[in-house]
Amino acid sequence: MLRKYRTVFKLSWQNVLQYRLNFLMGRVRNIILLLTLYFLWTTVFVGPAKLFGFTQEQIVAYVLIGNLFYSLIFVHSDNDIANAIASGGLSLFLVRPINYLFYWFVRRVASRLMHLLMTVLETGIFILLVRPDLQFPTAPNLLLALVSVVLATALFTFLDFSAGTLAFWTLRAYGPRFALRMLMDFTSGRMFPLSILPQTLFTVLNVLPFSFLIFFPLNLYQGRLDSLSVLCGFGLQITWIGLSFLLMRELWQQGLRRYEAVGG
Amino acid sequence: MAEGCCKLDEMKEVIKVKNLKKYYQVHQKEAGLVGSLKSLVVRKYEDVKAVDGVSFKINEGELVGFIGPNGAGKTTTLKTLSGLLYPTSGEVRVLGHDPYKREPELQKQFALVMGQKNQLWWDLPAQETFILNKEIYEVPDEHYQKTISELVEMLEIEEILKIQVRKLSLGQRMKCELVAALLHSPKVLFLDEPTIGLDVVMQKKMRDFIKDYNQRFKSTIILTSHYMGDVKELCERVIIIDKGKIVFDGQLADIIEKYADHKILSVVFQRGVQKEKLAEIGEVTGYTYPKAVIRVPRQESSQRAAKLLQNFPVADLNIEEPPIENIIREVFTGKDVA
Repeated sequence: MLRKYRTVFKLSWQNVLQYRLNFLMGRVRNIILLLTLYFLWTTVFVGPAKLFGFTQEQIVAYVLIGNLFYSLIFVHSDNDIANAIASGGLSLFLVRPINYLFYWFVRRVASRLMHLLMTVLETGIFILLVRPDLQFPTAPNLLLALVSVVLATALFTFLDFSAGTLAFWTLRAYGPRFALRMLMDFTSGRMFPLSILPQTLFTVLNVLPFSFLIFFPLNLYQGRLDSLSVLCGFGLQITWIGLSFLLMRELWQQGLRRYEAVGG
Repeated sequence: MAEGCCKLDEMKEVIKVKNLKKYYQVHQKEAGLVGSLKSLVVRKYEDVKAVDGVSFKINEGELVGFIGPNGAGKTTTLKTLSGLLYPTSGEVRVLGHDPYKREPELQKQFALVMGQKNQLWWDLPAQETFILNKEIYEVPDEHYQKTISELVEMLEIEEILKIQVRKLSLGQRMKCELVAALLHSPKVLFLDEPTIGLDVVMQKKMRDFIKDYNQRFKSTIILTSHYMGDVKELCERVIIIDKGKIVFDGQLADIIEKYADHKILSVVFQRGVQKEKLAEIGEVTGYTYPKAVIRVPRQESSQRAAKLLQNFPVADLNIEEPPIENIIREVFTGKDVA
């Protein structure tokens, strides 16, 4: 039973390696973004020693580790799923004894491991270039952060799949997918610590699922939360995982019914 | 599955379709921008009867052709048989299973090949997808080795197995699609337009393969095609579908008996004749000296031929059945039906 997904995993690695140049350029883009964020923040910090409760070292660590988490968590499949639905290619999966969504999940786990290798390499280059003062976490904080990253990956996957599944109703789900991507990029805490935003907005974002993708794991990593916040955070993160899973399952089942009704 | 096959005299029923109906709801949009805006608010839906009360049975080892114009309901029927569509009403059984439940036990026994869709991984060589399908269908190693070498030999694709799929020609890709679909030795095979877009030579090769495969493995095959050539060469039995209903189900040869009310006299003259005078014999559908093609009523074909021989300087004469393509076209357009 699991052998089929192991093969999917192997093929995914081969697939990435087929496009060496594409893959490398993607990584180059990542390094440029990383440098941009770094210089932006170091410029902001020219005057004050502390800004929004962050020292310069802390913010650099935030950006760097945030980037690492982002590479691990934000690996989209929504485009592939939406295309398969729109083109009818999904049919050839539905007639075979394989779970389509799990198939994509496995493919993306493979991509994630590939990204991990690359990002570690990039971060290494970055550290050599800029020699930032890195803040290393304590062992318990690191452990909590890792658990949270795994949970964030699940949350991301369910949201991302849900968006792709909307293609059952609207052409390739362009609109909703774009909106979700924007939301996730800007309110996950990937670009900046959400705490720099106005209090009200910050409070709202803290409850929404997106902050649990990057901001919460990063806070755990940097040890910024008291025990109660850690507990509440995990509670909310797990709640969102459950809700987004139910959403994905419901959309998928309803969507399939529709696909069966109108044909693909 | 050569060992799974049975004696010819005890034909097993593989597919049973009884009074199948499949209606779609399609929303109607009025023309123009105003219509588009209106449809944002209120949508009118209309039932489209894609399949409207279709029944047939297919026995093990049969190779049946589904023909009909675009939108006749061929693909819808095939999709219902594969479990992709849920029937509006009626009964569908494939190997005793209800395909809509998508049980792995059934899925491991059939395959669907669509000429316009591919399951091969675009950026990898075809053999990688073969390996994936081997695992998906849980084909044992030995069986896989045997099947693949057999298929590769039949389709002559040894050299292209290691080439990325996106670099293959359409014909080569289609061959690989077939191999990917047949690795688990399906008892039932649904081929939806398998020769679409292929050149004549490749079409012929595909047909030869399908025929050969059907005979060698006694698999049951349903084939839909736009090309009469596919059906004429491959299928003894055809089911003609039009507007969601079966208009004919039987031997290909019987179509002529049933629907052709005329025969064709094709003549070669010794010297020029007046075209107008030929009209006495029958309807002249073509005349380029020295050849002429004349359509005559079926019952009177011999008398008309005799008259032609008596009154004209005939060098050569043939009495022919009308081409099956024409008959079927006439069936669809609803004219000249006997």
